[in-house]
Amino acid sequence: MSVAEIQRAESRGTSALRRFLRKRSGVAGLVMLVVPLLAGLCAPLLVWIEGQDPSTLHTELLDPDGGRPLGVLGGVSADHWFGVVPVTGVDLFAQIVYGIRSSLFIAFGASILSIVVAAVLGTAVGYFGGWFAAVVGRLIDFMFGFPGLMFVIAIMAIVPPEMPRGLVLVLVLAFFGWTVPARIIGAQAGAVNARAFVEAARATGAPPWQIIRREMLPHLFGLVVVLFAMSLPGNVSVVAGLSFLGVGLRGDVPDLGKLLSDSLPWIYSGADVWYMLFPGAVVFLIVFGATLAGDALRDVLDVRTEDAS
Amino acid sequence: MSEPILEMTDVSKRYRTAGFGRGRGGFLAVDGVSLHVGRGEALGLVGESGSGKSTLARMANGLVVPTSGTVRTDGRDVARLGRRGLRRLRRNVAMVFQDPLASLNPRQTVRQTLENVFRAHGETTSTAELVALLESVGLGAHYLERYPHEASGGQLQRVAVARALALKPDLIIADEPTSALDVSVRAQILNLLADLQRDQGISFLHVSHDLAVIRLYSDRVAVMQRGRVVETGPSEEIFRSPQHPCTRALVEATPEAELPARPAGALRGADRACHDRDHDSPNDHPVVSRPEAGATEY
Repeated sequence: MSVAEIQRAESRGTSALRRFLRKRSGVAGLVMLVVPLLAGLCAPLLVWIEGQDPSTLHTELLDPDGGRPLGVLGGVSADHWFGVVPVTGVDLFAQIVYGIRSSLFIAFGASILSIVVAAVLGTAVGYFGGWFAAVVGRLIDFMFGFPGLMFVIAIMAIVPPEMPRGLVLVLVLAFFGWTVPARIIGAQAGAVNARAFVEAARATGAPPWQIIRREMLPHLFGLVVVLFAMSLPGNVSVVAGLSFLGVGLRGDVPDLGKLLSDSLPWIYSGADVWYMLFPGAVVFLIVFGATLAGDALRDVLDVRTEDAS
Repeated sequence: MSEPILEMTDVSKRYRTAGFGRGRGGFLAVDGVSLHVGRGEALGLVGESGSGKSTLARMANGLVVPTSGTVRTDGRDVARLGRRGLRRLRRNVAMVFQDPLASLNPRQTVRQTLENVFRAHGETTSTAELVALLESVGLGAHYLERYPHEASGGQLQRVAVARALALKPDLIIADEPTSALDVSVRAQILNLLADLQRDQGISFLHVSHDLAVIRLYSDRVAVMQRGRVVETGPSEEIFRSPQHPCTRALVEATPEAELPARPAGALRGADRACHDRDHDSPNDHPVVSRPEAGATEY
């Protein structure tokens, strides 16, 4: 084998990445997603650099009359990068980076879990078809008819306090998140299963697992990655939304949705608009970034070289 | 004479159609067909598109399960084989498909495609064996690391033949193996298959709509029309004096055919005899079956 051929074979693996990096919207989206993600990962470090912590009350920075932060931009200073929270005087930057941690990780967990379930079920539907596909299809129809968000709110409202709310959120969101991806993957898997090379593999006497693993999954992988990326922003907003409604995480856990919810009266009164602006911008950045990155990824991976030839 | 490698007795395949009303009874793709392929023999199965020949061919290795009738392949009743038995059967009965670009996984190199055949039966293989396999179909070792989009149709069909040969089968089902290829490489692939039959004694069930191809590369021919075998016999004989109107149409459609003078319009009539599925009037022409020289009827 010549060097050129080896390089060509290798370039196939990396070409999707290269094409992604050539898309500006995708790279911009990735940055918007990754920067907050890293901030959340490094929350303790960042807060330590800032010299603050997410719980100390800085009442000396507040206006004694009404409790709004003193100074410009909601009390932004070298000590408090995003200012402080009204009434309590807690450092807002620390609240936000710790809030990213909980919000984003719950959203990631829910997306991963739902896509894994969807991939397993969808592939099985595509491979086995028949009554199995019919049963799963009806189950998905049933789930579609369910008022999912209402159900999530109701469940979160009655979760016993001793249960880990983060884990419950992940499970509940995944429970309602697998249906649409499962249907899409199932349809795609069915199409792959009908292709001649799968029949050819069957004709060689390949066992089912080998057909799924070697013939079908490589053709579904791109779709699974795209569906994961596209389910992420939805889950981020739902996690923030649930906290906003007061049925998200526990009161003492920093959380983006809760910050937004708490900031509402201060927007209405116009006393401290900055309190909402910082966490709102972070949620916007994550959702927008994940959407852009997901779209770019779809464009890059949906282009099937073999179909073009 | 030993037992035939493939023996089909009165097999039918009815596909259920969705919906109600017209065609609710389903679609009879294969209708009471009996045929056999002797060991080392090449049987050509010809017919128009939709005559059921591909469906029939796929019954030989269990890819299609007949609605009724029995299929004995390599001495085993295919319907009675379990999942494992079917996989074992497929060691001995390989298949070459029409379009190599479609029947080879675009994300696998030639090496991976071939290795997967051995993997399917829990075997491993060496690069030397794979190279020898490629060489047996006239391809160089450098094709091992190529993806399907990096080779031509003729080269890919050679790869497909190599895949069929990997487990040293006794029977190869070739489903229109040259239809998707350029005319210039068809003969090469057909010669390759003919060599395999002659040198390795592999039996062939060769499906084609092209009687000219079948004539050159099959010992016997079965002509299919609307799910039935309407004429069988040695290739040369079928070609020289086609009896059934459908066979005549196929023979006349072959450019090289030298035919006795025929009345004007005969082709059109014969053509309709072969095509019209929608017309309920069955073709009354009796089935033509010729005894073969030196062969027993099964």
